[in-house]
Amino acid sequence: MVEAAYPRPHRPPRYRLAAAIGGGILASLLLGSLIDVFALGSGVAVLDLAGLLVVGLFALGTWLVIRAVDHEPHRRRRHLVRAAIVIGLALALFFFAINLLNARLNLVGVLACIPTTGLALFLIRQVDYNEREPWRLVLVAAGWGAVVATTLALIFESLWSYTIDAGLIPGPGQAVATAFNAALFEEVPKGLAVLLLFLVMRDEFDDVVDGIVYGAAVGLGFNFMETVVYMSVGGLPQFFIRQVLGLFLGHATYTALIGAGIGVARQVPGRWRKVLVVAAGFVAAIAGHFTWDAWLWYFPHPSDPALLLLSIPAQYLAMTGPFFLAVMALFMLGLRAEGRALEEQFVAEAALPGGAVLPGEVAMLVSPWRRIDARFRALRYYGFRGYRWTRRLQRAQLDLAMERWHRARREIDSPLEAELLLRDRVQAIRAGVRPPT
Amino acid sequence: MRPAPDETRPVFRLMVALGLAGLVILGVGLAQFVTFEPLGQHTGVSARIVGIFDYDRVSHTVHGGNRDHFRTNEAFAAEVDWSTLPPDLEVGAAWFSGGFAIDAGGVGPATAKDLLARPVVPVNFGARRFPSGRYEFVVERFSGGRPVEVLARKTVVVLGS
Repeated sequence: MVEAAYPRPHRPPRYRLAAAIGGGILASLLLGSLIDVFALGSGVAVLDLAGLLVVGLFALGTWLVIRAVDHEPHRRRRHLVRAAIVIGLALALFFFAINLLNARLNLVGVLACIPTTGLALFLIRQVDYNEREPWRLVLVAAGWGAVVATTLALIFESLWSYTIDAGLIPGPGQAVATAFNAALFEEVPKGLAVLLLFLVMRDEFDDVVDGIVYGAAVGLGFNFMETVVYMSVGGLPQFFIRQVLGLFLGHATYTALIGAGIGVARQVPGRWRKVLVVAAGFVAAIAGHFTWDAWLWYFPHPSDPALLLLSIPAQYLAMTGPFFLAVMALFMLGLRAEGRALEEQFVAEAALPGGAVLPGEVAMLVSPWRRIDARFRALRYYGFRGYRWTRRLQRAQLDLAMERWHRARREIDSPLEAELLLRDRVQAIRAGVRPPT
Repeated sequence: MRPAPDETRPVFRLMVALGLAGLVILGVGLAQFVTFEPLGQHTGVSARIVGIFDYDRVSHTVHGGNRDHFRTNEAFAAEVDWSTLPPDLEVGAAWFSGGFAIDAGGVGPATAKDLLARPVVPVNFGARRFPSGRYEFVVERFSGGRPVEVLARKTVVVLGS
């Protein structure tokens, strides 16, 4: 055996000892912080805990970047995407810790709001019955609302209070300024999430319906964190007001208006029209939020709890109700336009020789109820595998019809191969082989 | 043959209409703001609030050190040094609570020299206990009987006991 002239230096045992000590320190920091947080409610320990996890995630992100550029450049894209996700998680965790401190470590509030907000997200995703948005994007939208938008709002609302508000005369003028502060500095950070999704995830952002779904998800995330903060001061009544009465009639409605504007811009021709409709969404959302806060000047809430039970629902109905109805109208119009367009595309696809849709499938594909019925028939005859196969086939056919719709309207950046790929995907599912990705 | 109408037209029009309605709402808000916050009223004059102290309801005097928080059963008052203001300036001072919706007592409007004898401004709710929350004390300049400029302000917090 030939020995190398410069053998790779081995790691001496003392390194292992040092690593064990380092690991022990980290473990004790983690354990001690966990005990401090849960047993003593320590705010400093929350920062310790978040800091440790953030450092760990940043280290992992850096390692992934090194792998992308140095160790495995042929897998660069995959490693960079993973690095972006990990670093994004680190930032989100950091912002969540800040918000939790602001909410006086109201962990009970966090646990109480997860089921209600989760249910609302589920329902909003379900009503988009033609082409449901992927959970990962819906959760990213809600996460942005809960941690990024709330942090931005906190910073800019504080700046406004210390600069503008401090010089205003108490009374109607200052009440208007306060309402404007909340509306502007909460709606813009929330709207930015929808705008980013529109710019980055165009494939999953089809029309006004998708915009409303993403906007509402961001609003629900914001409402989640706001409820946790308010519950830390106001307790259970705040939960009832914000997670029951105002679950949909608040931030979800306002940000859905922004999403609707961006969703319409996705399809409307002409640059100025796109800018106009996006601006209209932001203005409508800011105005809706503004009316909610301005109401308190004209009709301050009574201190009598019985009267409060009347005044708060009245405020929701009078101030947010009309905006909620507008969102509903936009959603229904969007679903109707989407349904008609998909029907046209299914018919056209079925007319193609070797098309991905059979003529007999068109009537089933255009109706959400018939699609469900077809899946349950497959369940009865072929079991759960049959159900899953039918659902995958229907989704692939809907994706294809949606792509055809965008191409017919000249709204796609991607070349025709994307449509061919989707057609191959349908054929592959039908043939029972693994579809192309 | 006429081309089929664009299916996005109804949502586009509704969105633009909502945007216009939003502009009207924000315009009304701006009008209200300008009405109650008239422009061009800044004089550069500022008042001196000596501090916020415990208040004796019997002798109508303040005692103890300057504080920034009180209990609901503790009476408190602000002390203003009116002598730092031009004697003929029309001024007043008031306590506010509940997001400026509740006026919680004050003095003025009167000229600064008339208020020299009333440096102590207690919180007055007409009850012995105060609701918990943030209380703001503001010294204002008046013109035509209306407040037009804030000359000084201070905030205290009342905690539930």
